[in-house]
Amino acid sequence: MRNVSRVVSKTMIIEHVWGYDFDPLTNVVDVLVSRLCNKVNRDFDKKLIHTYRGAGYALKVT
Amino acid sequence: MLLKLPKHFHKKLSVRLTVWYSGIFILSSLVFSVVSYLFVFSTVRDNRNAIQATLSQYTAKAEDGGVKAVDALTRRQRKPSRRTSFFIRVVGRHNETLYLSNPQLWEKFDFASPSSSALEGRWHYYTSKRDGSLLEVSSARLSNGNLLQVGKSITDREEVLERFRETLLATMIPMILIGLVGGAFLASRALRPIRNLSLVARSIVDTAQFDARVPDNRSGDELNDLVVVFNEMLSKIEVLIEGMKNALDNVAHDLRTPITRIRIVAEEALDGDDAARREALADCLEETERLTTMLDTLMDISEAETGAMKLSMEDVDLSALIDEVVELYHFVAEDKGVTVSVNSARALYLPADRSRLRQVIANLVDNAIKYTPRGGRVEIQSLQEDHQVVLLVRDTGVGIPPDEVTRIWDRLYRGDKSRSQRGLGLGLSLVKAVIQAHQGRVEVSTNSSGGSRFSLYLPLSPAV
Repeated sequence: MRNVSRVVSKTMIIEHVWGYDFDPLTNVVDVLVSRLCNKVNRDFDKKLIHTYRGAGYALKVT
Repeated sequence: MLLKLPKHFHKKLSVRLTVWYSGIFILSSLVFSVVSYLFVFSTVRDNRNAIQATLSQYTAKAEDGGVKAVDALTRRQRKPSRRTSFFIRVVGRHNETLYLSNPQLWEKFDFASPSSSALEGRWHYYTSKRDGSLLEVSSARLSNGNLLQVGKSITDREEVLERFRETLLATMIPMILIGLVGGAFLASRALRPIRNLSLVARSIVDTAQFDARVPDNRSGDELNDLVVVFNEMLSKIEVLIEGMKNALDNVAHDLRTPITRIRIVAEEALDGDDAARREALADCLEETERLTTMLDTLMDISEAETGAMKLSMEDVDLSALIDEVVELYHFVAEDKGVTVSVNSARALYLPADRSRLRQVIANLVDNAIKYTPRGGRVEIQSLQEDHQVVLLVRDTGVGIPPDEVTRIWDRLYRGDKSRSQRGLGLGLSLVKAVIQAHQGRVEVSTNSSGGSRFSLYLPLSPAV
C-alpha cells in the first residue's frame, strides 16, 4: 500500500519480493501479476491493478 | 681498416655464442697442445736422470780405479753411436782432456770453454763445431782434483721440441679460424628459429595480421617447442580476436535493430493522437528495457568469460536452490501446462556464488519451460558424482537441431525455433560463462524423446 497510485516496475517488484534481480525473472512477474489481476479485477467495475506496458504496474482506484 | 659493426653488435646472442664457442674451442685446443708438449718434454727429459745415474756410476769407478777403470767401463758399451752412447770425459785442472770416450763421436765439440771449475755440479751444453748439434753434460769433481763429465747428445730432443713448437704455431691460426667459423655457423644455425620467431612477431606488430606463422622445422628441440607453442598461441589469439570481432558485430547489429525500432515508433508518434503517443511511449520503454537488459547481460558474460566477474563463494545447497527456482516458476509452468519435477535426494553442498548459480538454474528452467509444448515435462535432477556435482535439466520440448548444437552457446545466437519466443539469445551464453567461472563445464544433448538435456558439472572443492 506504500506505492498507491504509483507505477512500479517489474524490477522493483522482483527486488522487493525476492531480494534479487536477473533477466529471466520478468517472465515470472508477468505471470504472477496477471494471476493477481484475474483474482482482484475480475467481476469488478473498478479495476485495482493497472498494467502500464513498458513501465510496470500500478495499484489504484479509478 | 676497421669493420663497421652494427649497433649493439656485442649484445647479439649469435655474436656472444660465437665468441664463447671459439673461445672454449681455442682454449681447450691450447690446453691440449700444452699438455702434450709437456708430456713430450718430460719424456725426453728423462735424459738428465740417465746422465746423472751414469755420472754417479762412473764417479765411483773413477774414484776406485782412475781413468783406466772408466775406460774399461766405457768399452763395455756395444756399438758406439752418438744417439745412444754416453759421452765420458775426464778433465784435468787446466781444462785439458785427460780421457775421452769414443773420441770419433765427440772430438768435434768445442771444449775450450768454460773452465773446469765453472762446470762443477752444473749442466752445460757443448756445441759441435761440425754440425752445431748439442751435447748435454753434467760434471762432478773427483777427489784427485780432476773433473769427470758424463753427457749425451740432445740434438734429437731439441729437434723434436722445435718441430713441435713450429707445428703448434702453424696449427694455431687454422684452429682460431675453425673456432670462429664453426662458432658462427653453429650459433646462426641454432638461433635460426629465434630469428624466424622474431621476424614473425615483428611482422605481426607491424601489420596486425595474425595469420603469420613461424616455420616449424619439427626438430623437436627446445626452440622448436617454443616455435610450436608460439604458433599455437597465435592460432588461439586469432580465434579470440575473430570471436570478439564477430561478437562486436553481433552486438552492434542487435543494438541497432531495437534502436531503429524506437526511432520509427517515436517518429510515427509525432503525427499521432494522444492514445497513439501513449502506445508509442510504452513501446519505447519496452525496447529500452530490453536494451538495458541486453547490455547488462552482455557485460556479465564478458566479465565471467574474462574472469573479472566477482563471485562471492559460499557453501550453497544446490537442492535447496533448485527448489527455490522451481517454486518461482511454479505459476509460469502451470500457465504453460508443463509439469516440472525435481529429483534431488538430499542436500548437496558445493562452493558457489548463490545468486549467480540461481540465475543459471533459472535460465535453464526458463528455457526448458519456454520450449516445451503444453502437456510436456521438465525434469530437474541433481546428483553427486566423484568429486563433482551434476545438475541435469531435461525437457520433452522441441529439442535442438544437430547443426545448431554447437552454436547455442554463442552470444546473441538464436536458433530457428527460438526466434518466435521472447528472449535475447544470451541466456545460455551466460550459463556457460558463469559455470566456467566456477571451474565447471556445461554439456547439451538430445533426449530420446527429442527434447534437450542440459548437464552442468561443478567441482565439489574449489579449484586452486
